[in-house]
Amino acid sequence: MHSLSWMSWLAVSVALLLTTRNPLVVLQLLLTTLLVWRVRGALSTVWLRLALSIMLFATLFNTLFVHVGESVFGRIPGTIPLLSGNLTWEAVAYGIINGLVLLSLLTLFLTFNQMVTPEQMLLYTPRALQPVALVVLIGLTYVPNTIAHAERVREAQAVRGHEVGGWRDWPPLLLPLLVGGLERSWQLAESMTARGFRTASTGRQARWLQLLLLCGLLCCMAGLFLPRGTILGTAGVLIMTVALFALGRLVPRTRFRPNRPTAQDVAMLVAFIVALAVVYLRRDGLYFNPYPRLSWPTIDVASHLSLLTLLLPLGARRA
Amino acid sequence: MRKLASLAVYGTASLIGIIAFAYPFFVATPAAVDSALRLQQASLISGVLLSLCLIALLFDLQTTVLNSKTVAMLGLLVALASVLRFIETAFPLPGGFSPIFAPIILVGAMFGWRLGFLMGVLTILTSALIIGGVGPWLPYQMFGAGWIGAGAALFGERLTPSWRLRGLLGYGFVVGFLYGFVINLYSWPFLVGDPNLSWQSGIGFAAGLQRYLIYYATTSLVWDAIRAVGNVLLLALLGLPAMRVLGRFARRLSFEVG
Repeated sequence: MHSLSWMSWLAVSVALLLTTRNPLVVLQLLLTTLLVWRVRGALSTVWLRLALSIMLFATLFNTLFVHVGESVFGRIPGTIPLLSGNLTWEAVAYGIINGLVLLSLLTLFLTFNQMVTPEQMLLYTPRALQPVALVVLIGLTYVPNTIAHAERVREAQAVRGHEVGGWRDWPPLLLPLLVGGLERSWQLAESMTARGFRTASTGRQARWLQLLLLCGLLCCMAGLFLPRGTILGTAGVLIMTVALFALGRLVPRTRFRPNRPTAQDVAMLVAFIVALAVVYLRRDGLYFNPYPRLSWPTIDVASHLSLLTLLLPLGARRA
Repeated sequence: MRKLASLAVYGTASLIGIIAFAYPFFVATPAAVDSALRLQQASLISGVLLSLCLIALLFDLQTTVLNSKTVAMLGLLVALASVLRFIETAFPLPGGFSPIFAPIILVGAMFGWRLGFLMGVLTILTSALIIGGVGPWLPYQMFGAGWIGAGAALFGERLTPSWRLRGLLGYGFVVGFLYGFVINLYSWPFLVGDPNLSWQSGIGFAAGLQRYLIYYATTSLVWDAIRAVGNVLLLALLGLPAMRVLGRFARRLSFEVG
């Protein structure tokens, strides 16, 4: 499965999770993600401990600090700030839902991180932002190197009789790390220059496109406050996309092994977009509020059926 | 002219970023049933708007400061700061203390606001990729850390090293609280509880701000105080020698033949 397909799967799932508090929808998304992770990746056993702690903390926090709701099952007496008051089943339910949303988001990103490496993600950074993406790639690449260097510095200082006890013992470890890192960056810069590295264009065309980028941003912001905001916001995003694409064309780049999406990836992308559209059209089903009285959440069959498309990665061919 | 255009881009994008952060104070609908769904949509839109602001800012900054030397230097410094964040995640540190803010502040002070902003944004992004902390909160964290790096440039070359350090100690203390204050805006509207401190649509900016201040004081003040004190301690311990090292490197960076 192409990394773009995984990104669209992630984007649709996150968009749904951030716009709903319906526990049935959230639960379906969580179970879908767990199934995909189990089949396509390696489900970590640490996840279970993480899940228990997130659910416990979210539920307890909301139950103890929120005293709203009609179904009272207990009371914390006295006048303790934030804590004293009724304990209600509505607060428990809202805490559970919050925990489920947090857990689902975390599970989604853990699954995504296993399926797509940071290097693959950075390949899809817009060409206009290539230097920034390169900085991130250098950072990611040199983290293991930095950790190894830190160990060598620690050993060298230990030979000189330096032991790490308290706060004051850290400068002799951190400062050589800083100096060594900066020296390595100088060598890296020289090899980049020798290979003809060049940053983005700063000519007149680039400046006009940059202004276009800013106009798109202003349209997006105007969409938040003005009437017909959706149209303005969408226009703003389109303008920014065109400007970024045009700016990217000013940056020369070649690829020796292009990794193009297949028909399977395109079909999945279309299916995810259709699912999102169906859920958006029936968006009343996303809403749920346990306050002031606990009730059953809405079951919208069409939305739940369309969300089954998020299981498509189970049957997809591996890249 | 180019400098003016660059400042205009930075100023506008930052202003839009501030508005995106402050969306809970602007979301207002009369019907309670509608407000929860609209809040969730506003949260998603705000995150998207912040991401778009970051894209516009990053493009402007990279055309003005990034060349082979600064790309390499920033990459290695980001790697170093990311290792510090990895340590923060692997070993429980007290409260909100995080060792990543000290390097961000030092880079901003020694190399200027543009590199300081990039250092903050890219440290958060890179370290989030490493520790798996990628989520809808990421644009907020990136923007907050970017502003911290950019603001540190106020204590730049104009000051002597000792006065610069004193300024940075005070700055590190203040931003320890400011960062938490700003980041909490992301999650505050979803807390339902005591009417004195929970979000409610349509009550106006002043009343909303008052509730938020009470919410912040009761839930995050102590946590952020630990972060603020931690920033001061790290900067006091490493500030002067690190500034000497970075200053030497800054002089090498600015040396050009011809």
